[in-house]
Amino acid sequence: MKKYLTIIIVLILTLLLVSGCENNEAGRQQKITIAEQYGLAYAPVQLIKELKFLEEANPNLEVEWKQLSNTTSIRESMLAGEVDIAFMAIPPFLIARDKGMEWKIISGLSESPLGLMTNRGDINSLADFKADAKIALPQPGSIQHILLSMAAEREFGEVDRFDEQLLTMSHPDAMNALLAGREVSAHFASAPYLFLESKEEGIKKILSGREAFGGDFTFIIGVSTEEFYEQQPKNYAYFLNALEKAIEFIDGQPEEIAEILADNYNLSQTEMLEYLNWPGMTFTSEIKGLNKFIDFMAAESYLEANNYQYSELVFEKNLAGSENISKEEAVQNEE
Amino acid sequence: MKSKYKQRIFWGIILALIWQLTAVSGIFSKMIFPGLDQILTALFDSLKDGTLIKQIGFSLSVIAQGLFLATITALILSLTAYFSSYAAGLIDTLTALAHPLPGIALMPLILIWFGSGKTAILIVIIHSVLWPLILNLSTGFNSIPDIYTLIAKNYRLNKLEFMYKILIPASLPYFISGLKIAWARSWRALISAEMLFGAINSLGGLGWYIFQKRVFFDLPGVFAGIIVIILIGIAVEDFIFEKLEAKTVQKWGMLK
Amino acid sequence: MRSYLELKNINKSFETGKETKIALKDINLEIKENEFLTILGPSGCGKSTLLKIIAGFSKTDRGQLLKKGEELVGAGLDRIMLFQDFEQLFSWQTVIDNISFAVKASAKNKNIKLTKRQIKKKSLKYLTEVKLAEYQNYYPHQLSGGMKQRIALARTLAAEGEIMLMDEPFGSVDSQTRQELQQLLVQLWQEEEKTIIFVTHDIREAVFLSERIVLMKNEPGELINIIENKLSYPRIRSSRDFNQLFEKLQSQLQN
Repeated sequence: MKKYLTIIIVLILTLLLVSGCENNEAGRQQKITIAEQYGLAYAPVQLIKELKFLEEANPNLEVEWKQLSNTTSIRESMLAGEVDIAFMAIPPFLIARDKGMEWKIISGLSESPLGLMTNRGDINSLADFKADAKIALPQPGSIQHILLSMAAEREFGEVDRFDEQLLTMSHPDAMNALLAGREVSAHFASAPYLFLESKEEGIKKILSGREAFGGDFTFIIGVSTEEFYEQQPKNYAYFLNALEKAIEFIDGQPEEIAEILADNYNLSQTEMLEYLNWPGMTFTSEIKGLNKFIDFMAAESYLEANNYQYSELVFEKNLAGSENISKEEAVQNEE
Repeated sequence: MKSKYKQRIFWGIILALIWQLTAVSGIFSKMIFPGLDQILTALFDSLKDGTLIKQIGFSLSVIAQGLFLATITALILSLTAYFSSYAAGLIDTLTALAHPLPGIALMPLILIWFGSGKTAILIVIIHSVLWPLILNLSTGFNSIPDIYTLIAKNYRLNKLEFMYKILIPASLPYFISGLKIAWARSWRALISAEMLFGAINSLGGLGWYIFQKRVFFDLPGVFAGIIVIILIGIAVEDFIFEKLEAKTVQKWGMLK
Repeated sequence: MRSYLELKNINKSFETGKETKIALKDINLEIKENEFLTILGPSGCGKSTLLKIIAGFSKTDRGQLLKKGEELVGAGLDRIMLFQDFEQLFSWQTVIDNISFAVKASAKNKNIKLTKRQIKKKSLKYLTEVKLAEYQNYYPHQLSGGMKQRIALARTLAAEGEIMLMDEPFGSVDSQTRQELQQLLVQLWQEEEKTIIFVTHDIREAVFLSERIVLMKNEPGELINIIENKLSYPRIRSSRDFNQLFEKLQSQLQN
């Protein structure tokens, strides 16, 4: 008798577990999960969260925000089906796409100044970096790594010249190490760390992102899984609208934005405003420099393929516009 | 061939087949569940271009150094504790405090004090190895039959002679079992530390290799690294330790 | 005439929790050189304790232990103990190496330097005396209990001490093996010149082996009597004299 009882209990538990899974599936139809990261360049996304643009548009929509610290975890979460939309730089997006990750770009987000900052008085140019000078950046394959490689290729003809001096460090850790003069000779920084470091005595900029790239480029893009795009087109559209709204808001009214977001970023309103207005800090849905990244990374074997169609990389419905038409024209065409 | 190996090979093949069938069936996307063909390709590519060999060499050399240093230290400390009860109190307290700590928990401290170079990794390994070794050695020393102490007295052995003629050989089973535990813990700690520390001097070991594969989203590469870790673990445990035991404690009928 | 080995007023007690147990009370004994002496008594009568004190493993509470008039302090190679425990051999060494251990210790004690060949030769000689030469490269765990004790005996001989102390060494083997070992022991004693102090609770063993038998009782552990064993060697276990002595000893112990 006991044996049968045990079997029945086990069966019931198993059924409950399995049905639990099924409920999740059904629930996901009205749920959107967005990965958020800390950084000035992601400000419009923070706005969407703070001002509840999504909940406004669709009260039935369950919105989940996941705090993830780096692009690798974001990729892995998206692969596991836990995150639908995320924001990141172009190179990590391309690398994963190249390996078969089923995601595409939904929009540009921001252009931002980047810089290679050093704490050593004896280093004044890239050529001064000897093998013992360690350079901190978020991870191999990050935009900072690619930019550094581009500069190395252009100046010395050696794309991997600095590869053995790289230290994988998050921006906060890297900044601390840089300012403490410990361990790290340079940090390829982004906002707001870049700004904070520039204000310190003894820290100077060796190379800007723009110089490394040889032009303007989009720093952060918005990305969605293909699954989300195909299975929840309505919610995808809501998000696009919310994003458009947020970008326009930031672009047009920085003072108000500074007020709303300063606490979020742990900055004073004055500082927040200063950073938002920093030269080179632009929030726009355009995507710049995509082809140049592809060409460079394919040539240097970071990517295997190099003949990507725009439609393979960007969703049909997007904020950036089609490859050859600007956003305004695309909107007009739709109407 | 020993039947244990035959069994392992047999079940290993079965598991590999199940894996491959699952991969091929498409239940999971090949992004999450790469097939053996992809994994083996990644493995052989890395072997061919030499990166994997370099990393394996690095990991093994670091762990060998760490094990060596820790073993000597453990021997010295345990012998001291055996002969002096004051020292025993101190060493026992140290061990009780340090042993429960996983090396990973100490990582932030180690990073601040020792940076992120090879020294830091060695410290992590030594920490993982030292305490279990001391525990095992001390237990071993205190477990030798009382009769040996009487014999030592009877034959007027001095402390040194007692140590190398009786104390150490008699506690060899404990030492080897401590060493096995030490190896297992340090191998795991090493890989974790290498992953955490990212790139160091471009030689970062197997953990660093897996980290690289991960950030470049090369899942077959990650699996290849995992396979190597498993194979090395088995190789050491099955070949090195078994041979060691066969030549010593097994031959002497002293297996615990 | 000065005694060879003298026990003067040996006393020993142990504290166990609240009680004090008197293990040995006023033991006075004189032992002759090269004699085979047995200390016979029931379990717990302190005979092992007494042997340990003679060996120098324990200290007497008061009293003295003298050899040739000089006080003995601590243990030494002049009084080698043969234990009952099979584990007295070193399991990590071959049979021959176990014996070499004693050979080397003895040589060092006498400040003699021996070459490896000499050590091997000597060890083999002792191993041959206990008739186990062909097992020289075996490990102890491969041997039976009786064989282990024979090798331990060989080791004790190889230590070349004047006095051999034996703590019920044949207690753990079967009776057949025990008789063989007893025979071997008597034979070896007659060939070498050694003083043997043998502890046992087995009356027949005492009768077979020894020239003098010291009887002890327990609670407290003290001497009852010392009986001379005048039977000629080799003793015959079934003989009338043998059994008469057995009965005499038995009745003394029972009172």
